Amino acid sequence: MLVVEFYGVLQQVAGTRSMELETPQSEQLTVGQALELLHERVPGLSEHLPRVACAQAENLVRRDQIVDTHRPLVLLPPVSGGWRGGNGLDD
Amino acid sequence: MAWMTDEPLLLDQLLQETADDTCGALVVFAGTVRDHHEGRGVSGMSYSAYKPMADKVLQDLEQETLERFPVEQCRIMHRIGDLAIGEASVLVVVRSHHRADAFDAARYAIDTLKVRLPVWKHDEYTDGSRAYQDGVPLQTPDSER
Repeated sequence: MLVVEFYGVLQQVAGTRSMELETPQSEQLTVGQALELLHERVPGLSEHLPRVACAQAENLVRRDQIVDTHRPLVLLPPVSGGWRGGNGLDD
Repeated sequence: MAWMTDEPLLLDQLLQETADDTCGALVVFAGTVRDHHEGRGVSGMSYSAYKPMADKVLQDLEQETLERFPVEQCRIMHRIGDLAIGEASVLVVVRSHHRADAFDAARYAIDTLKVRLPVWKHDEYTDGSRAYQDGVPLQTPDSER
């Protein structure tokens, strides 16, 4: 079992702040594999997942890293207020 | 010290924290909530954050700014929660011996914050609708190298 937490627009898309994800007990799971399981559970996340960063506690985790199933996997959508194409900085 | 807060940002507090008689330059950047976004009227904004990471990002960014630029003081605070038009959402305070370094460092700090800080803006529009602003995928010091 893995707890997945959503932030920003992902909360709207998933319809919740967090959910429990069934994971295979016998194998270690990478972040990427966890996201695939999540996609099967919430297909509406498909267009967002390629741009999502993942974290556990205060650290970002890469998609090839093994998930610590004792901690929530936190999904962080693109952060707002950054670059705006060729127009330079927003505020 | 605080970095992320749901209380109004107090510039006087940061000026006191960074007081330094060796410095002849003080640069303050304040980001404020504006009343429009991409042609639509905005009546307010709600900021949310992944706080466990956000506090660390700002703390690390202050230290990084002090190491990259010849500046003596750097403090950054960011607000979360519901903000009205005109309220400050972020403050960057930099002090240095001379002005050019303080300008450069403050610019670096706010530009870097914009791509590293896990914060999201939820606009409330004047027509009553609400929407999250799109942004840029989160970056880390490692991913920028």
